[in-house]
This record gives sequence, structure tokens and C-alpha cells, in this order.
Amino acid sequence: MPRPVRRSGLTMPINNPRFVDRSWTRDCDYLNFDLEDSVPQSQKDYARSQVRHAIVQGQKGAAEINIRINCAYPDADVPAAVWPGVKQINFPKAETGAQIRHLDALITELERVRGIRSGTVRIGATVETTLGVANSYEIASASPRIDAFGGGTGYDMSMDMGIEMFVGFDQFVYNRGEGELIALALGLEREGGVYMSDTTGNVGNAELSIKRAEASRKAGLRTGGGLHPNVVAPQNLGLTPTVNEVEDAHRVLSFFAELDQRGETEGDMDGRIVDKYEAARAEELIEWASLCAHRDAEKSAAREQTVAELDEQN
Amino acid sequence: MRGSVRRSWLIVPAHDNDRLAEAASSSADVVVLDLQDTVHDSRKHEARDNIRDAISDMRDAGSEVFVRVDIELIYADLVASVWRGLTGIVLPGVTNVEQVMDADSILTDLESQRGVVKPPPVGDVREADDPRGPEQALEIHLSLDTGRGNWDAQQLIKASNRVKSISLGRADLVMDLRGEPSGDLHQMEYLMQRLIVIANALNVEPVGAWWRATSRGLVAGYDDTLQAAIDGRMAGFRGGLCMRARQVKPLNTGYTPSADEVSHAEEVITREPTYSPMSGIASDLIAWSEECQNRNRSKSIVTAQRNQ
Repeated sequence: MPRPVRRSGLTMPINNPRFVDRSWTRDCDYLNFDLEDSVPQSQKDYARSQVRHAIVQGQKGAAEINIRINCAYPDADVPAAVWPGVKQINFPKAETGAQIRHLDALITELERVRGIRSGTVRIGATVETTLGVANSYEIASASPRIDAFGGGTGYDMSMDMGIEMFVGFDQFVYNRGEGELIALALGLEREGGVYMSDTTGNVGNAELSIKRAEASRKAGLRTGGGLHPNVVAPQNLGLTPTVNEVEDAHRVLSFFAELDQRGETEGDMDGRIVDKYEAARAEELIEWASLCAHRDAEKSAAREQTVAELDEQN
Repeated sequence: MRGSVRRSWLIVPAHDNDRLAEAASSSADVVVLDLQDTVHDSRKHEARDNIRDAISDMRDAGSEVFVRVDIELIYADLVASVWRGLTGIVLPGVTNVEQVMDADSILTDLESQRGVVKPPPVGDVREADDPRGPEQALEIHLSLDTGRGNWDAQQLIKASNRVKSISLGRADLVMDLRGEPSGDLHQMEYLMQRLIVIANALNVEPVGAWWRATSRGLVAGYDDTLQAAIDGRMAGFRGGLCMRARQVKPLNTGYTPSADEVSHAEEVITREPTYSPMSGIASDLIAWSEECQNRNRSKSIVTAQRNQ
């Protein structure tokens, strides 16, 4: 399977048609329709009934469809969430491998019954508690459906640790390090971003989003996501390699090929060292840029088609 | 833990005679003859052929000698490397316990077949071929440069009694951890601290320096290397790897306590009661400083003998 492009994604309450019906216009790589924290208890049944409608809405913009379920009652949520078109079930506040194995079994059965290719629905396990941090490796390795992993941060993590958020320094150094190391150990995509000081907690801060996304891209990270439409464009842009970076990567590869032909392992290119590691980075960057371009074209074509269909209807 | 004084570990491509000559006059505490990354596949034979003489040359120059082997070519590399004068091997890219056990077993066979034991410290008059004790087994240095290797560091260290030191090697490149706006390498602070904690917990030496994104670590200039060594020593490393002979001096300097630090430590000892942690830290620093001076002296003695 090609590496998924998940630079931007909005989490939104699935019971709110104002958000869901406009979701396809947001240019998100993925949409995370929520059955969990943003849905009040009294609306949970209604929310579950809205999954198939949300899939249709999200697909109008070619976004990858994710459904976030409640960790406390997967048996009620998963049958409502796994339908053709859903690419990932997000499991928040993951704390044990057993939870993930149970979720995997539920999905496996639904794939069979609903005619979805076996093993194609992924699991996104999110660590948001200290117990989850302690059991991170067990969680991340509990199912082959997990293809990305990161350390526990965010509102719920803060609440569990009993600390304030947005204090101006990284309170989650250990969690992030542990999560990313586990991802590297298991060969998973690393989730999370480069820490940047934020004392406001403004989820719609486009300026901070672009800075963070660019820093994350340069540090080698590839995924994003958020809560406010303002951060989608900055994340798409910031996590996509620039034209100059792609050109430079091609030069690195040519230079390294010449070195290799001469039986050398490293050389100086304009004052910087090029070796097999720089060549591997260049190769990854070129491949990533191409995947991003392909994703952008897919989304753009889908939105154009949807607009044309709507015009026709009107 | 305290072992030999190994402030600078200079990695040298074993096929490159100019770089080998440079290493022999570099004053490195350890020279690592490389058969891995810096040697092109087409030149591996040439590099292996050089190892035996190079071990002897580097010992004569007052350095301990390790060989960095290619984990995929380990048998051929070890056959080329286990000769009198070798102190140990550097194992990069380790991802499972079997690889460490395999290296241990090949070393055991070759030691036995060739009558090779780990040599005494540089400058020591003890004959290298004294009856073999556990302390004379060739060492393994684990270069934990992969995600899997770091995660399983404890099991890998415990896989062989020969493992006496560990480092992150070129983890930033292998694991593709790039620079952040702060100037730090992404996740390296976490990984360095984790390595130091595990090394101390299992009584092996943590090797490394506090490299920043701006310096491209193992080929950095003098000032960056000196700072990385000073910061590395403060963080708990006991010596750092490098790939350029010019980095040896700043590593040796940065990993040796300065005269000011020593005199401050002496003041602390006179001022503080002996049971105070500050007194203990100060006394460790003075002892380390003396060991560094002894190491410098033994290097001078050996090189003077060579030049006679």
C-alpha cells in the first residue's frame, strides 16, 4: 500500500450537520468524524446513525474518512463506524494492547460481513493518559492495522497528568520521545510535530500552524491534523516539500550516484557532505513530494466534480 | 561506571592510507578502523587487508584500537580484524539479540584459534598474552543507531558480557532525525538521555557528545566539537565519536576537566563534609582528571618509544 498522505485533518462532531456537510470544502487530506468527546452523551445514538451520511459528505472532497469512537464502548460504536469508505477507526485514550486487539477483532468481523477487503481498515491508537504512555509499546504493536504512532500530548493528557496546558515549554518531552522511538522501532509513521511555544491555546492560529508544519517537515515529520479550518491550508503547505527542496534533492542524488560510481562513500557538494544517508533523505523527499502532488490533484479533481454536480442540480 | 579513558573515538576508513596515517598522529584515545559506512563495497577487500598492520600502527601511536564491522558482513570482517593489539569491535545497526550473540561467538572462536586477548591499557608493561581472564575478552561496543536497537537497548547489552560501551553512533542519520528551529536535532536530547540512563543502569560506558543540528556532529569543526564534548561530559557521556582527525583535540580537551573545574572541586572537598553528594561529585571529577592526565602520559611514553 502506498504511504498515506495525512498532512491535514479536521476533527469534528459528527452530529453537527453544519460542520459535516461542509467538510468536503476544507481541502483536508483526512477527516476525523467524531463520536467521542465533541458529542454529548444524549446525542451518541444519533451520532452513530450519521456515519454513512458523513462518509458521503467527506468523500465529495476526496478526504480520507476516519471515525473516532469512544474507548469505553467500542462494541456499540464500531458496528456503527465500519462501512465501505472508512479508512481508519481512531481509538482515543488507548491504555492497553487488549483494547486494540478487541477493536481489531471487531473490525475484522465487520470487514467480512460488509464486503470490505480484509485488513484495509486501519486503527489509529491515540495515547492520552499516563497509563497509555507506560503501555505505549504494547499498544502500538497490538495490531498490524496500526501504521502510525506518536507520543501522548494534548488536552486529555494534560488533564490526566493534572497539569496546565500552554505554559510556554514542552511538558511532554518524555511522551513524545517514547512515542516516536516506538514508531521507529516498529517501522511506523511518526505522528506528532516539532514543539513550538504556544501560550494562547488558539486552535485556529494559522501563523503558528505554518511555522510548526514547516519545522516539522524539516525535522522529517510528515503528519498533521487539527480542530479549526484555519490550520488546514498551513498544514498542507508546510508539510509539502518546496520546489527548491525537490530540485536540491535531485542534485544530491546525482552527486551521490557519481560518488558511488567512483567507489567513494562521501563527498563535498557546495560545502556540505553527501553520503548514503543524505541520498536516502533526498530519495524520501522526492517520493513524499510526489505523493503530496498526487494527493492534491485527487482532492482538487473531486471538489471540481462535486461543484459541477451541484451546479447541474441547481 | 569507570573504565579506560576513552575521550575520543576516531573512526577511520580502513582502505584509506592517508587517513590512517593521519589517525596515527591524531592522539586519539581510540582509533576505530572502519569496515562499514566509509568503505565502498568495491573496496572492502582492500580495507580488510589493511587491518592487521593498522592495528599495530595505531597501538604504537598510543591509541586503543577497535574495528567497526558491517553487521551484514560480520564473519569476513571479524576474520580480518581479530589480531593481537585489537581491543574490541564496534557493532552498528544492531536490531536483535541474536546478532550480538553471533558476534560474541565468532570472537570467541577467533580468540581461541589465534591466541588473541584484549591488550593491556596503552603504556602498561603487562604482557598482552598473560593467561586469559574475563577482563581480557575482546570488547563489543554497541552503536545503537536504529529505532529498534534503542528500544531494545537493555536486552542487547545483556546479550553478551563483552558489551562494555554503547553509543547512538550516527542515529540522527540512520533514523533521519533532522534539525529543529531551536538548533537541536529532533528527539536527540531524549535519545541521548535515555542512552545515558540505560548505560549507567547496566554498568557500561555511554559514549557520545551533545551534538546540535548546526554542527553535523561527527564531522564538525573545532568549536562545535569542543562544545559538544563539554556538554556531553556534563550530561554523562565519557567520550565521543568523531570522523575527522581535527576533532580529536577538542574531544580530548572537552572530556578532560579544566584546571578551573579541578581547583573548584578541590575547594568543594575542603568545604563540604565527606558524606555530601557535592563532595562525592568533586572527588569523582578530580579522579577523572588524574586518569586523563595518566592517559596523556602513557600516550607520550608509547609514542616516544616508537620514535626512538
